[in-house]
Amino acid sequence: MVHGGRTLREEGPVYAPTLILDATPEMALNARETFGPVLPLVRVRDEEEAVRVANAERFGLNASVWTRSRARGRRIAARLAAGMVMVDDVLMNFAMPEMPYGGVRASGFGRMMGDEGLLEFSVVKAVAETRVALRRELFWFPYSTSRYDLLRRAAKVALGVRGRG
Amino acid sequence: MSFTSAQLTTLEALCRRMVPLPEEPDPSAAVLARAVEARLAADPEASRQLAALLGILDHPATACLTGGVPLRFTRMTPARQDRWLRGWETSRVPARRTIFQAVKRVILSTWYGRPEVQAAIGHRGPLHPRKPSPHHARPLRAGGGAGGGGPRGPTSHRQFSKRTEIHRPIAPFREPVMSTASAEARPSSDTPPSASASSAEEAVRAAVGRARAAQAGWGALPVRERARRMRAFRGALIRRMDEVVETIHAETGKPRIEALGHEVFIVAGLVRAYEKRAPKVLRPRRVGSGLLVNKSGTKRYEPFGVVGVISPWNFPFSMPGIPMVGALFAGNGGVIKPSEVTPRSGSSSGRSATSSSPSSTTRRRGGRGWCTAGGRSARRGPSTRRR
Repeated sequence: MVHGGRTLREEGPVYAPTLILDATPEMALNARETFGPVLPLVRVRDEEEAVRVANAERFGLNASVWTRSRARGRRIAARLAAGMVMVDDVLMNFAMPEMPYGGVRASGFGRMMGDEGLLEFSVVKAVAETRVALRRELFWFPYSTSRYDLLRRAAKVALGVRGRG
Repeated sequence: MSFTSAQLTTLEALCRRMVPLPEEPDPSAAVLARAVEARLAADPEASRQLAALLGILDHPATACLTGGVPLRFTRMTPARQDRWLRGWETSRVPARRTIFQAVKRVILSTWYGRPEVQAAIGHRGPLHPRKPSPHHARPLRAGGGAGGGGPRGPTSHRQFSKRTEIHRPIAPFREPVMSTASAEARPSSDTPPSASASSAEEAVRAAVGRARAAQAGWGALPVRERARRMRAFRGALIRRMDEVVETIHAETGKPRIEALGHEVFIVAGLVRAYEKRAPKVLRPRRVGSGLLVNKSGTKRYEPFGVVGVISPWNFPFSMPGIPMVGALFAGNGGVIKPSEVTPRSGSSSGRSATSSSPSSTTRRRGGRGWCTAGGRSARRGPSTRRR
């Protein structure tokens, strides 16, 4: 621990910003939600290992990638198991109302904000109509062999695949 | 004779262009189309003629000949429909002008024949009741079938008014009356919530009941109208932001700039974005019908009913506010159970909307559906954890 790790008495039940170096993925600190200003740092060798360690977590709400290379940031963002990824900042996607907010895995369900946030609270109804009323619809009785033949021909023409299909 | 569904669809589309009706899924246009049909049912010859016209108007070949694009009338965008109809109205070919006038007149006279439309424009109806009443002066039956019907009397009139409750552009939106939650269930009250689990459960049931009642009217509004009222809520929220910021600051201890930026700003910003997006996202969508060329398919988005939000303390205003804004835009009612640690911030989202706003704004509160249920009640019973 290089900083913090205590409550600030003078300000009430407030925890000081805390930085933990050389944390390991197995630590409870990493495996559980801290809900406080605590940042455990896990050292990794390369990009590959970083993605593997990050994706081994139970949680997947808002991830952050810090890098000078925009291409690398985008590449890592694509590989992270998270509902949201922010490159070179934290949480500001929360202030972009058209971005869907939500997580994967143990980090919540569904989405709020964005178009998805509207669909989340809607139920879709499929309404089918008859555009042209036929005298007899396909599956209305009585059936006949001629209708079967018609449907068979239709299946061949419309659904069959030419050649070796 | 009655029209086929294709003819009715065409007629409905024409009604939409002739009369200012709310957008789909509002059924007013369909009701008006049915009324035209029912009205003409007394005159089989006129009915046959209109049916033939509708077939012609919605035929791709017709559009191709008159507008150069082989597109059915019902598949055109509203703007193109208007342009195309204008072409008929001002055509050099007399027959086309006649057709346009015939369609326009049958739709408009049916529309203005309705008592509630007459009431809305201040017309008190015919000077003296005519006897025997000609068929176009009688109450119109939605629902089609045999035309006619008896002379205007109490029975037929009641039947009529029942069927036209969907005519929202004219009938004002009735606000369901919201009773206030009992003091002990309101986190905004100074009285601490009672420790009785059963009364807490009752309070939640009551809140959900009120939300359900309010949702009936709110969910029936066109999305655009909900957006308009949510906009008023946004205005009310920003007018009272200092108060909301103070509440959040006092309860959580977070700096005021965070209370404003992470909470009020985000919720108001979401409302602003949804005012534009919601009408687009929630619009009914035509989808392909596979190989069934004579069928059509539409996806419609409907509200669930009442949405409950149980929210945490870290963002006491935006965490309940954000999903509730989405739920309201989608036409739901809502009940918020704020964190017991920050009961006032969570409920201020509801209060800033309901209590502050002038009557015009409070109406948008389908959000009256936005009532807050008692702090700990929505959970498993009384909790003693309170800071």
